[in-house]
Amino acid sequence: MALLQFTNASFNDLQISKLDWSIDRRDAKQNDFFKSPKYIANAKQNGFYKNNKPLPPTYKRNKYGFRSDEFFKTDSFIALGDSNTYGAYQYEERTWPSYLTESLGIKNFNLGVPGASIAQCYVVLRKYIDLIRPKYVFLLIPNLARNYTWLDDNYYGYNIEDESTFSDNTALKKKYSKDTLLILDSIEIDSTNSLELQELNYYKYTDAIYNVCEEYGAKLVYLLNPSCPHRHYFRVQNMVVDDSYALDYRHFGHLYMKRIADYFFKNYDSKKNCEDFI
Amino acid sequence: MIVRKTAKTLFRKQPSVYKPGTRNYRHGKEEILELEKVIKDKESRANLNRGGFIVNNKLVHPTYTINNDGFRCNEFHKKSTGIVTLGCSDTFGEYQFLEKTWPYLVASHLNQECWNLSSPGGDIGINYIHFLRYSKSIKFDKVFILIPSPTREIYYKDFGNKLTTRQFIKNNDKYYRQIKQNYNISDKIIKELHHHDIDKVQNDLNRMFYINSYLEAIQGLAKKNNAKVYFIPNINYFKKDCIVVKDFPDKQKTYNLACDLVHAGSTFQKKIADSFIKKLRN
Repeated sequence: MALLQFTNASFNDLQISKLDWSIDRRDAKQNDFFKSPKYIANAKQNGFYKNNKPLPPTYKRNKYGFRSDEFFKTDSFIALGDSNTYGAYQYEERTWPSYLTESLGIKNFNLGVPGASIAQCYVVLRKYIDLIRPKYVFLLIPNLARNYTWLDDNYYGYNIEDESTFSDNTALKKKYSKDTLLILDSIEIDSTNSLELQELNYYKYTDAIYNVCEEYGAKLVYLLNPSCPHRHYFRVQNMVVDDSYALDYRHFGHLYMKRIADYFFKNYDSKKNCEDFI
Repeated sequence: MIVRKTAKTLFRKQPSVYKPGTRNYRHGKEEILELEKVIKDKESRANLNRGGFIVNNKLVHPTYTINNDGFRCNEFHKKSTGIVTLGCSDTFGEYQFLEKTWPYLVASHLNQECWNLSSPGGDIGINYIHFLRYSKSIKFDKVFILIPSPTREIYYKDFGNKLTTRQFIKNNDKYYRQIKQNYNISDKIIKELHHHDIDKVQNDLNRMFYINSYLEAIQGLAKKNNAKVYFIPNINYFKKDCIVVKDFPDKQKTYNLACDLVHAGSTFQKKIADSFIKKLRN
């Protein structure tokens, strides 16, 4: 690895935020979805009832916290991305990595992390690729407005969508005044909303991920998620996304997952990439 | 219906520190007058002499030839294959004769054109952006990086309307001045924000990620262009015990200085060039 070596820090020290994706909260939430009429209708329409009984998705977890089998070296591909790759509120067999495994006929290791930014996808790949040594890496690029920033002695996925802010952070509250933390929130929100930063995130991390893949002889294929808010500013693949939903009625559903898998299957051997679309 | 825009903001031409054409110094005549005063001091004069800036008892100022895109190199073309050099003012060769800068020395050794994409005050993030922006305008097979200060970081704000760098170590940096003005906040808050940033800079994990993620992006982009990357940290700016440095000359007291008597001089430039040439041989 041709990187600058630091004495007291390495990629292995970087934590991946949200790998402990709220197991208790998530399960409680899933059960609630079967109580409200709006969610029941959605669940029925999108196949979350089996034999007229509600059947919430379950989530396997390997020793590193991923919704994946334990890592080992085999003919395989790595799936990178956020909750849309992880398959939040969706059965595992209806996630795009599973559909792609059906088409490609090789094993997948799902390294998707709910709430992840593209920066975090890069960190995840850098940390774990050596354990897998895949043939392909498929990256479904998360919302480019998500940032991955330093906070309280480790990295922190700064995400304005779910209101994780500096002013919420307990450790920082002890150090700084409320006004300072609110200003930090404003600065960070202004920054993540800037197109320059979003575009930089796109180029920087796709190039960095490309370099990791080259180092391990894996082919990288990526797609700017057509369902994210960045579609308002960047050209994305023309794809229907909202004709099916996950159990939470917020994430898009199995038909969208199938289309993502189909896109990757069509392009896994092509030299073209979504670079042409931005 | 959603109106889709194509964001290509990173490829917009940005104003650089130096305007195209030949310029003496960043601050023009005032700075030259200041140097003329400095030369009267015995010690400073000796320093300037060691740096090769006194010829026939007179101060000789380095001049910079800046291309139309704001860089200290020829106009970009794809007629021949050159080398790309990235870094900060030490790579730009601020206050130094072109012939004594390390990019010039390495390019001369290789007998190739030098595309010096470095910018004074720059950090590795700005290096990546410049490389991304201009890599399609030039042909190159090697990229050399003298990794700039880890206490700098790029930032984007609507105010100023351009991408620029901030220097964490100074609480009077333009970044803090702009924050103060735009958010209308007190000195106390600025002090706390600065303290928070200093914490960031002093955190090895944070700096490791910042520098290496950009380094990896530069390497990825270089690979797409079939070019090889060589890098050395600019040891003047790194805490010596925080990085593992191999085959890099220690900072010695015998180093002379550049014409501003602040930047490292021609001896340092030569040592950097030699280190890169050694890496090439290996």
